[in-house]
Amino acid sequence: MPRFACPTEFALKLTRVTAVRGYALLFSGLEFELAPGEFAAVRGPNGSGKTTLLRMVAGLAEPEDGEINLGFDDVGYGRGMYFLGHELGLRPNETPFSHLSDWADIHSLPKDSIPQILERLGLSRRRDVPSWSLSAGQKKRVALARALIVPSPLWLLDEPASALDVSGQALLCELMREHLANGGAILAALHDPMELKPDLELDIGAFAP
Amino acid sequence: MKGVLAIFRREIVLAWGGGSGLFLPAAFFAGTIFLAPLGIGTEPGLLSRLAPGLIFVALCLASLTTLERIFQADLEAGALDQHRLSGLSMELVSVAKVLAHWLVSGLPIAILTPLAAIMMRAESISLLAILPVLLGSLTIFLWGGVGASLTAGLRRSGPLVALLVLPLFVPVVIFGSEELGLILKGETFGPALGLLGANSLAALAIAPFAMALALKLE
Repeated sequence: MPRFACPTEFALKLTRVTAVRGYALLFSGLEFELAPGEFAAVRGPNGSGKTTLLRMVAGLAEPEDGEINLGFDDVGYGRGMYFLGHELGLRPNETPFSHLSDWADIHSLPKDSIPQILERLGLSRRRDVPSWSLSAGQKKRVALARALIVPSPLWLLDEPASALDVSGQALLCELMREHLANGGAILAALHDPMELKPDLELDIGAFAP
Repeated sequence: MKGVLAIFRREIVLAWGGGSGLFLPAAFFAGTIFLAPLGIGTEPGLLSRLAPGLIFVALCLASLTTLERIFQADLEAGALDQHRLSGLSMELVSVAKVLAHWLVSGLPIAILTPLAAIMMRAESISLLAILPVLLGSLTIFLWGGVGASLTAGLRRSGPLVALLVLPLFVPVVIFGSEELGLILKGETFGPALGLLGANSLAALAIAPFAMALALKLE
């Protein structure tokens, strides 16, 4: 795994960020800084805008106001972000193997590590079955495998542990630890406590109107 | 560019493997053309005169059976978000998706045209008949992609896509049936072919930007 370079002190910096969803103001004046190698948990009640915040950082939604700055160097493929949302990105008729090999191709990255990655995520025996026949946890493992195929410095995780069994959660923590050790940063919306303790807590409930 | 090609290939494989993609529009087209003589009757000259118009109307309607799926499957699965994070230009990504769907669903219709011409007792049957339908279906899929990108987030969006894009099919039907009529009479290319091609190019120039913008708003 490459070490991620970050010329700035922050990996992610939010300045006076305001978000609306539909007609509702979710939060305003959000200030936050995340350094490389740090793991921050976003907390807040249902509907407080955790997913919206992650989508804004990913560039999938526009903030109503404020600035979002990213610190990491360009990795040369993609936008340098791994986004794990509620929708996992798997089409019902693609298999774990074809999904990962397509993702490697889309980013022009090598594919030879796919078998080991599938092995590590416990998907070897399921590598060639269509994803409609996979369980929710297995699909999540495929989505996690994408993070290893396309190494990205900033991870944005929305309830990463949901649907994962005990071994899956342990694996998730292991992957996150490795990512942080590589100089990556993680911003994750969490409800349940995780085995891996976050370095920072961002309670967006505090920025609600 | 390599990444866009990968998306193109992925879309073909998935549309093909999805089952209905390949055969549904082509079967719809063939079914319509098969029913037409039964309803119109076989009076000499009548069918062959109606053939070009009927073939193009059938092409439009057959395409509508699949257009809504161009972006919907990826949006539902969250793959569209992932495509946006891949840093590829969404204009190119959406064109790649449209072309893949066209290849799997539109091209078979064009290839069926000479057979349809036989069914409709055209005076002259030639492989040239494929050309206007090929160009026409390409335009239809590009405009259809715009409709599909605008409605991808809606459930049961098929009828809405139809309403949105049918007006854009007007030049295709006019120039396409004109050109196909010439070919089915044994003549070759007329000015309508040029206009049909210009229409395709216009769609190719405008549709990608419209699709990328619409997908950003989903």
